[in-house]
Amino acid sequence: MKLLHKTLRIYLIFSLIIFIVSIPVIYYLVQDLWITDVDESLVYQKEKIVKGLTNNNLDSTSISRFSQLAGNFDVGIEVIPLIDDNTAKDSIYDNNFYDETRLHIEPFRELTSIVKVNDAWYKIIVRKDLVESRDLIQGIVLVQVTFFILLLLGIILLNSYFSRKIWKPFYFILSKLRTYKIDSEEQIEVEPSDVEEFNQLNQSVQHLTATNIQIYKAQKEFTENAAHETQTPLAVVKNQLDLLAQDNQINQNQSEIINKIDRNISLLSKLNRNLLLLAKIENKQFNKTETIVVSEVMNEVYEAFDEHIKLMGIHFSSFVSENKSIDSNPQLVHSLLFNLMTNAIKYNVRDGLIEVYFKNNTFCISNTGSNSPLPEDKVFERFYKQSTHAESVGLGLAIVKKICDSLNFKISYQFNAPNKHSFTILFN
Amino acid sequence: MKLLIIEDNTDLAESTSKYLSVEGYICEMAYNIEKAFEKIQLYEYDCILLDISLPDGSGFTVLEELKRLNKQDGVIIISAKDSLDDKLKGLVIGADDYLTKPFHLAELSMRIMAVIRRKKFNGNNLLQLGDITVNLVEKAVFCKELKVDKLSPKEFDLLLFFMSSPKRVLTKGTIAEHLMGDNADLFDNFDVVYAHVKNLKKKLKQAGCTDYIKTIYGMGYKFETGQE
Repeated sequence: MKLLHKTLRIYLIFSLIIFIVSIPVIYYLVQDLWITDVDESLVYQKEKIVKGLTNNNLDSTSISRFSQLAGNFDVGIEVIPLIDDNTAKDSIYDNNFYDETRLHIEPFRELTSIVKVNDAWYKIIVRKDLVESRDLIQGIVLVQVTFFILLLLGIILLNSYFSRKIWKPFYFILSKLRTYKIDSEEQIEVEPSDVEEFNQLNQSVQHLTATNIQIYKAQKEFTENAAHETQTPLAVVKNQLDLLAQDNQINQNQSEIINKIDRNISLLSKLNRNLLLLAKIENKQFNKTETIVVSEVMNEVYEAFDEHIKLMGIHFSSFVSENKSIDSNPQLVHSLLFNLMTNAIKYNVRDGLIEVYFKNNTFCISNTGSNSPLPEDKVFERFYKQSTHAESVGLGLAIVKKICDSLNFKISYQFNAPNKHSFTILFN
Repeated sequence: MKLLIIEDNTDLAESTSKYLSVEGYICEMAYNIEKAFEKIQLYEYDCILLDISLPDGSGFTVLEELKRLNKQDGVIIISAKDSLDDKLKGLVIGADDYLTKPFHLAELSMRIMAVIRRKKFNGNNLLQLGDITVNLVEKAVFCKELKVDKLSPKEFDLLLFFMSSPKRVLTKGTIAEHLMGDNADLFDNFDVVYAHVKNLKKKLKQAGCTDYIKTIYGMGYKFETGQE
C-alpha cells in the first residue's frame, strides 16, 4: 500500500466516525434549541392573549366567541372559561393532534395556563406544531452526507495533488535509486525540494553514492594496477626460465619443472590480462560502435580453434546467417564469441559436438559436456570453475557476461539432457 | 647487429641482453628516457626494444624523438599493457612491432629478426639454413632445390620459428604460445605442438631433408643444422 493511501485511509476512517457520531448529536441539539424556542414563543403568545383580553374589557360572551373563532380557524388558541377558581401552574407538554389539512398526526407543543381576566377565570391553551423528528433527521443526514462527500472529494483531490507536488522529489530519487548501478560511476541527480526531510534524503543519497563511487574506483584502479605491475616480474621469471632452458646440464626432471613453471606463469599472465579486460569493460573503454558481420567474426574465431577442434575430434556445425550484421563494438563482440568458443571446446568431451546458430538476432552456441547442468546462478560468476581444469582461470564466462551487460545483450544458459550445454545471446 | 634495450627493470634488461648476445647481437641498455635520448642521438641501432612505462615518462616520447631525428632504427614496443589503443598508437608513431609482457625470449628474437630483415634486407625474401631455403613471399620451402610439400600456415610458422632460433632449446610452452597466441594457455596445447612438429618433420623428411629438429625430452625441441 502506498504511503499516501495509508494516511488517506486513516483520515477517511476518522472523518467517517466523526460524521456518524455528529448526526445524533446535532439532532438532539437542534431539537432541544427548537423546543426551547417554541416554549418561549408560547409563553409570549399567552401573555399577549391575556393582555388583549384584559385591555379590551371583553365579556364572557365575546371571549367564548373569540375562542370559537380561533378554534374554527385552527390558529392553535383556546380560551375556556372556568367556573371555579383554580390556581394550577402553567404547564408545557408535548401533544399529538390529527392534522385535518395534512391528514396525519402531527407533533405539537402545548401551553396550558389558568388566568384571571376581569374577575373571571379562564383556561388558555396555546399550541404550536413541531417539525417531525423524521424530517429533522432526514434534513440533518442530507446536509451531513453532502458535506461529508465534499470533504472526501476535497481530501482525495488535495492528497493526490500534494502527492504529485510535494512527494515529487521523493519519487524522483526513488526511481533514480531503483535504476542505479555503481559501475556507471555517475552521481545521482536530485530534485531540489522545499521540504527539509527530502533535502536531507537527497544529501544523504548523494553522499552515499559519491563515497561508494570513490571506493569502487579505487578498487578498480587497484585491480588494474596490480594486474599491470605483475606483468613485468612475470616477464623476468619467464625470461630467466628461457635462459635456464638453454643450459646443457639440465636433466629431464628439471626440464619438466621448468615447463610447469613456464605454463603457470602463462596462466597467471592470462589471468591478469582477463582481469584487465574486465576492468576495461567496466571502465567503458570500448565505446566505438561499428557495423559487424557476425558470420565474419565467427569465421575468424573458428579459424583460431580449427586445429584444436580437429585434434580433439569435435564435430563442429554452424548455421550462421550470412551477411547479417549488428551494430556494436567489434573488439568486444570478437572477445565474446572467442570466450564462448573457448568454453565450448574446453569443457567438451572427446568426439563431442559444437553447434553454432545465428539467426534473427539470436546467437546460440551449444556443446556436449558433463552430464549435469551447471548452476545457473553461479555460472557467470568470477572464478567459478566447472571442473578441476588446470588451465582454467574461471574468468571466461564472467567476461562473456560482462560484455553482454555492457553491450545490452541478453544471455541465458540452458541444459538439455543428457549432456548438451547451450548459451543463447539475444543481440539488441 | 646493434640493439638498444630501453627498460627500467634491470633484471629483465639483463636477461634479454644475455639471451640476445648469444644470438650475436651487441646489446646496450638504457634504464630511463634521459639515457635513451642520449643513446639514440649518438648512435644508430638496428633495433630498439622499447618499454612504454618508464620512470621518467612514457616510451612514446622516445618514438617521437626518433621520428623527429629522422632515424631509421627498427622499434619493438614491449609493454605490460595488452591494449589495442596502445598498439595502434605505437604503430602509427612508427614502431615496427608490439610485444606484450611476459614474453618468451625466442619469440622476441624472432620478432627482432623479422624487423631487421624488413629494414635492412628489403629485397631479400629468402631465408636459408642448412639444406633448407624458405621463400618468405611465396611461403614456399625448398630442400636442396627440391620443393617440400605445401605446409599448413601453422607448420610454416613453426618452421620459421625454429629457423629464427637455431641451436636454442624451444620449450613446448614457448612454441605453443607462438603458434596459438592468445589461446595458448587455454588448453592442453602440448598435444597440438606435438602434432604440428610431427607433421612438419614428416613433410621435410619426404623431401629428403636431414632431420634438424631434435627432441629434448621433457623440455621441447631444438633446431640444429650441425653447421657452425
